[in-house]
Amino acid sequence: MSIHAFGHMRTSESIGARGFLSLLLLAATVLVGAGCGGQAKKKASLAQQAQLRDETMTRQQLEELSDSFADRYYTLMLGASERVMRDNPSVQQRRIMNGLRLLGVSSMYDIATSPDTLTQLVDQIAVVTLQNCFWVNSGRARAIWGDRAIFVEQALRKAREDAWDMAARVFNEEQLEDLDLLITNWWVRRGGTSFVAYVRFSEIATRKGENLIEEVKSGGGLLEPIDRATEQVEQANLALQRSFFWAKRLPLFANWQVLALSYEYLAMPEVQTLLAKAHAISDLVVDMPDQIAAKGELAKELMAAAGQLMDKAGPLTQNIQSIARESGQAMERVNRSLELVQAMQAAAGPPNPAAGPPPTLDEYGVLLEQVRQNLLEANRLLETTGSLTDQRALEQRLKPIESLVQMRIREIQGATDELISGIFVRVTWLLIGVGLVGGVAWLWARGKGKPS
Amino acid sequence: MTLAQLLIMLATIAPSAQDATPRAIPKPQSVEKVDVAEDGPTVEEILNLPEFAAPPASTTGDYTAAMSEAVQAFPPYEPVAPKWSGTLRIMASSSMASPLSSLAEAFGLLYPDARIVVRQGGTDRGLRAMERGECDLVGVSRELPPDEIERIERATGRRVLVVPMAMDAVCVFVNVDNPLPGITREQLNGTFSLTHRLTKDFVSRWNDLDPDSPLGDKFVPLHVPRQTDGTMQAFMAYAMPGEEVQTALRYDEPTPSSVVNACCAYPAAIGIAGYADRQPRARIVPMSDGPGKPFVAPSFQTLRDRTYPLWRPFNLVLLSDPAGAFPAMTVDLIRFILSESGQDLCADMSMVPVPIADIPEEIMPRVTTPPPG
Repeated sequence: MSIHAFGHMRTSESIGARGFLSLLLLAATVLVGAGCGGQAKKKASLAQQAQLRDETMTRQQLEELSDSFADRYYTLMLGASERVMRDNPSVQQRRIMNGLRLLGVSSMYDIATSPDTLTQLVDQIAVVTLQNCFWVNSGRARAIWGDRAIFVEQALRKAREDAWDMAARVFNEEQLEDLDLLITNWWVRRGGTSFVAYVRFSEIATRKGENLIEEVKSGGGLLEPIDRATEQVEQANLALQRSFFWAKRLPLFANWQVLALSYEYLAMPEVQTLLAKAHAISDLVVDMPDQIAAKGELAKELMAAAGQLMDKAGPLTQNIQSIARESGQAMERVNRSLELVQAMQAAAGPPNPAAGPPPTLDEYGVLLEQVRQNLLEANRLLETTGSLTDQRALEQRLKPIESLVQMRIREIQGATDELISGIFVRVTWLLIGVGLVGGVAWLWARGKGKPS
Repeated sequence: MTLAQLLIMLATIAPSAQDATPRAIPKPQSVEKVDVAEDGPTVEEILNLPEFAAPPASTTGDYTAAMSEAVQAFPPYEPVAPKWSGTLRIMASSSMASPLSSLAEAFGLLYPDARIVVRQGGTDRGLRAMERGECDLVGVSRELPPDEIERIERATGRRVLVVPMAMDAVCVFVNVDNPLPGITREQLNGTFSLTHRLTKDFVSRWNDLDPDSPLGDKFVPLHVPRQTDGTMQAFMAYAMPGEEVQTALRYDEPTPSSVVNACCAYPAAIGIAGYADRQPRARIVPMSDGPGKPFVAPSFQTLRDRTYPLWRPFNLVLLSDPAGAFPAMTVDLIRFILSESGQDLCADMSMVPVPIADIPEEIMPRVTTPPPG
């Protein structure tokens, strides 16, 4: 019994010792785990911050998005218009298509080079959404271009999809709905207008719209808020980029202006009359041989009449040829202007044209002057900003940032120290605990080993 | 483009420059004419066609005599003597936000000191905002069941008032050139549902829906509003209860207007949006409750007599104050909406006026009697 009991006791004892060791290991695991858990939490928090940082967008990124959207819009309209205009016998259809792409593309580049990045985005959204309402939904495109309208409809729709996808990266869901409501309301009230390409968000926006922009600018959406100290430098950089952007793309659609001019000539009532008469004369002359053969004696008289008609047709033809000549001269002017732009590009820099209707040929010189002025302004702005770097003013502006950064570094150092000392304390206590337990176990084992 | 290229281009756009030169013998093959004197309308004429005149958003010219009669059944609105001032916050479903904005704007013209803010936030979000006291009036694009009313009353300790404002319908849109004659509930299930429990026939191509479809075996791209949208919720409850929306070829659109725009632009598109969202280049497909049942298109008549399967009310919901009285300015706005002027605006915005007999008696006295200012 006693042996059994002893044996039992031994068994219990060994289980107790194992249990104790297990508890010890568990405690150690918990202690270490607590540290790791804390680390894991911090890691998760950092991951969340990183994710948030990834989701927010800087102005530079938004600017690039806006520029690339303008380019995308250009390619969409170019593709659609080529399909509508290629082999199209209708001058009217070609004329309207050319007008639509000229207005749309120049408007989009105008927006992309406007001064405020966020306003660029909302303007682009407003324009493509309204263009869809005006041309696609209403059936205007179909009424004008018939089956060929599908190219325009799908190009405008794709532009709308792209614009709203872009918006979803800056606005939250609720803000997007507000934006849609503002545009829809404006369209319901003013949808009869035929110049939607040059409608801007400022026209659409009520007080609510303005608040929406301010809300997003101050970090209420997914756009990274900007501090005032760095704003000037960033604005200068963006102004320079916009100038380059505009200067490089202007030649892309300058030819469309010449084409628009040609169509305007052709659509002039005087030209229409001339052409109609020319056709009539041409038809009459074409039928002449048959009539001569059929009518015999009358032929001589008719031939004489035909000769007179041909004499009259000559000046008409010359008039038409002069239109082509004039258009050619216009093209020369444009070519000269383009050379000037290229020379400017080679010399240095860029432009930021003020918002306004698309430039006409007559305004081309004015536009180039604006480009030059903007270039100079951008350079001046950069120079000013550059000189500020050596001055106290900028240092003072940068001081709060520097102190903020230092404060952050101190915080991180403090947190790291705390973490290290926390780990050290835990490990120390763990070692003490292990030592104590080991000592007690040793003493206890020793006590048990002694013969009673 | 070089100058030479441009001149070539000019030569092609003005062929008469050469062709107009008289050529007598032999007879030329043809003389290409520049159509400057086309028989068709000019650009300006096209852009100013009456069918494109305002209001262009969705009206398709169905403001009929019956509609006019329904509108005239509502009492005229008499402005209150002391003008309203202060702010009234409205949150509405995506389908109701635009018409409510227009109604609020019209009301605001009568009371310049009153500021009415309309936000588009969806039915459910609007109701939650009202419970939290963040808005005064909610535009709800579905029926509000008694248990939901009870829950809100319990949660807030206040009375809930539900006022029908107009009638609308959840519609299936396709491109106007798509001749799909009609669609059954089962076909909708087969098209939009991931699991299509109501039918064995999964629809992925146009000839699955209509063997004679000119779109043939082209896929059917689904353009749907977000699933939090009241319109989509109503559609799902009807066509695919308890099921998920198909994921293949599904395009989640930011707003119902974007759904209809997709149907206007893409010949093969199909989409879900409200009756008031309709546009000239999109067509609403008649719907049938099931095999053997008639196909019904939404219209003034079929919405009023509820024969269109997916009709829905546009309701206005408000809370009383703790004493049980409803805010006077909000009630007066409702009085304006349920007046002849308000319903006329609703009809202009493609909604169907609610039958006056459907307005609960509890509400009619409020509607007809101007509140003390």
